[in-house]
Amino acid sequence: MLERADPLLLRDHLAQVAMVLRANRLRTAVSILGVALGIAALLIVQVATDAGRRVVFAELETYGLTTLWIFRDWQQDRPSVKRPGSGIDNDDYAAIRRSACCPDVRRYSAVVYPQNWMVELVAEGRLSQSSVEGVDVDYLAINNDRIVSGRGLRPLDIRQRRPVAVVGPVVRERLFGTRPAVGRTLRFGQVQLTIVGELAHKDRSLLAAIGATQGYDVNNRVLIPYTLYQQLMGGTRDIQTLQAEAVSVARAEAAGQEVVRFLTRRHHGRYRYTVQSMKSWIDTAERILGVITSVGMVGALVALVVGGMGILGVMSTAVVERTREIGLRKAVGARRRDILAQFLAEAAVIGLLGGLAGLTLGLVALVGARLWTGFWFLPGPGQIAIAVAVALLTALAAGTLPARRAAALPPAEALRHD
Amino acid sequence: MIRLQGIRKGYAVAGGRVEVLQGIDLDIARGEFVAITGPSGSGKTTLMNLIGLLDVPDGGRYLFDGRAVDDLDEDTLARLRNRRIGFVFQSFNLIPELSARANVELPLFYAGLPPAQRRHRAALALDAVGLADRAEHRPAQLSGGQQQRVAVARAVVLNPDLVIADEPTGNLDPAAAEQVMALFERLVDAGKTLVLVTHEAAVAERAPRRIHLREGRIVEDRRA
Repeated sequence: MLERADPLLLRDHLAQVAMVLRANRLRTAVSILGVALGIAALLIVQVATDAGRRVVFAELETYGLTTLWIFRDWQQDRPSVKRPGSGIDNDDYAAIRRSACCPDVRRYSAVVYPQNWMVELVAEGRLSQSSVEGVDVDYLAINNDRIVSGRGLRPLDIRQRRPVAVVGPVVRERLFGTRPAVGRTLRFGQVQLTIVGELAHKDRSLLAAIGATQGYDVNNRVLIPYTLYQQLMGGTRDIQTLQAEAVSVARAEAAGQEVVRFLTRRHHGRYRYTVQSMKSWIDTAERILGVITSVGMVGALVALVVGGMGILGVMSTAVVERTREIGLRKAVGARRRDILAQFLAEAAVIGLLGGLAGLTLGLVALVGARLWTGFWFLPGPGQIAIAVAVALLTALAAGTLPARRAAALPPAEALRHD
Repeated sequence: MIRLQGIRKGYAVAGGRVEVLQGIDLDIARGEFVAITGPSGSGKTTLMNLIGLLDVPDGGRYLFDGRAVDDLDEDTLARLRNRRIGFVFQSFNLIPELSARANVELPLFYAGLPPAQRRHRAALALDAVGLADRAEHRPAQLSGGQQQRVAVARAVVLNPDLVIADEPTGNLDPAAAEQVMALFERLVDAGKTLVLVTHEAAVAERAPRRIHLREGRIVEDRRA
């Protein structure tokens, strides 16, 4: 006679919970709203920082995250020992490529450019102010440059100083409009260059917007063999910048040090060198994104705490208001865990409804953000799952205290309550 | 059925302690109909709570159906209340959000019965109190008398041995009170033990055995 059937079916329980929540619409709605705001904030922060990270890193990728720039450090020279030259010449370049000095470097490219960055290019009666850089074969790979038509520079182009060029999309557009550039020629000073390839467009609009590109338009570039450029400059053997690609972001700094050590030793310390890497950019981006994430998370947390407090308040009031009901339920056989389950189920339903409302709210906000900024932010399934789980956990955490209080009420005392 | 020996119960109040029950000895046999009377504060409700296993005594011994219940844990007491005892209160204590049927289903719900069985047995119990056609009404849509009859249906739906009623007619007009009392008498006729707490002489008169409490003691135990 005292044996007990299995625990109650969840469906029945939820049906009862639904009835009680429906009977307390206003209080339920306020709690749901609190959780919803928290979840919406959480979702937006998650999605926005994720999207921000993608956008920022996509632009940093246009430099190559593992790219190093090694060049003579003019500022560290003592004025009394003025030495000419860029500190890196063709012999150094050939030597370092043969040497096993730098295990953390994957490949190199010489970069040769004039004092005056911008030069005049002419083709078919049209003019373009662009930058011309003398580079080596591996330059494209190091800089994550893609060829959209034609080809890149080849070893033979370099060795024979062929008058060939690879042009950026802005150059092509200015000189030829929408017509293909490959196969046409352009005039650079006294030289006719044959265009053999066209570079893909690179997006650095965000970095340009914050002034990080210093007016340099990566799409307004013409690449020619560095050997050719040296010849055009009057037969110099100087290389202004040595570009290198480290084997990984983590090894980039070590790679730079290896190259500098090699060059310093080769020149017996006559020149000082400086290395630029993407590390400071990556660190800055991470730091900014970290701050944005923290601020957003704190905001979301505050909203969630408010939502949780709402649930706590609503449930505490409910427990007090329903003390007699709890007494009655216990009188007719409810055990402590039945009452606990009932109130936790109510909290869970509020949490889930709040989570779903928050997702809806967040999605509406993200669609609004798309209309406003043009960036398409969408939450992934993981982020949605996190949001719902956080809503549920918040509700359960907030509901635990009142639920335990309700479950612990002595029946006789609860029934006396009025 | 019920054996109380030297039962004492007190409560802490502001500035001290009130001894509500000061040594109660009482035997109630199976099938008896007992009215407990006494002035306010005499300990009627406290005694009822102890008998109904809603509260535990501070001292003394309570045998429920021959079994000592003083040291049973909470869950076991809940199970005993669920299966063996039905309660009827002065203020009905129906859950306002639930229909009459759902209210009657509550004990079945906590007994773990599947929904179909709950529905069926609740319908039978409501039919027995003459409210089959009001099953889907909310308490607020029912008269006081009807609400108390729903409460009686809830009390007996699991066919308990003992029914405890605390001032069941206290909030009812005479006609409704009469209907409820008639239901109780039918329960007694069906062999149930009924303990009825009341301060109304006319209600107490209907019980074959009347116990009068004063200041926490039984001062009279009279059988008609």
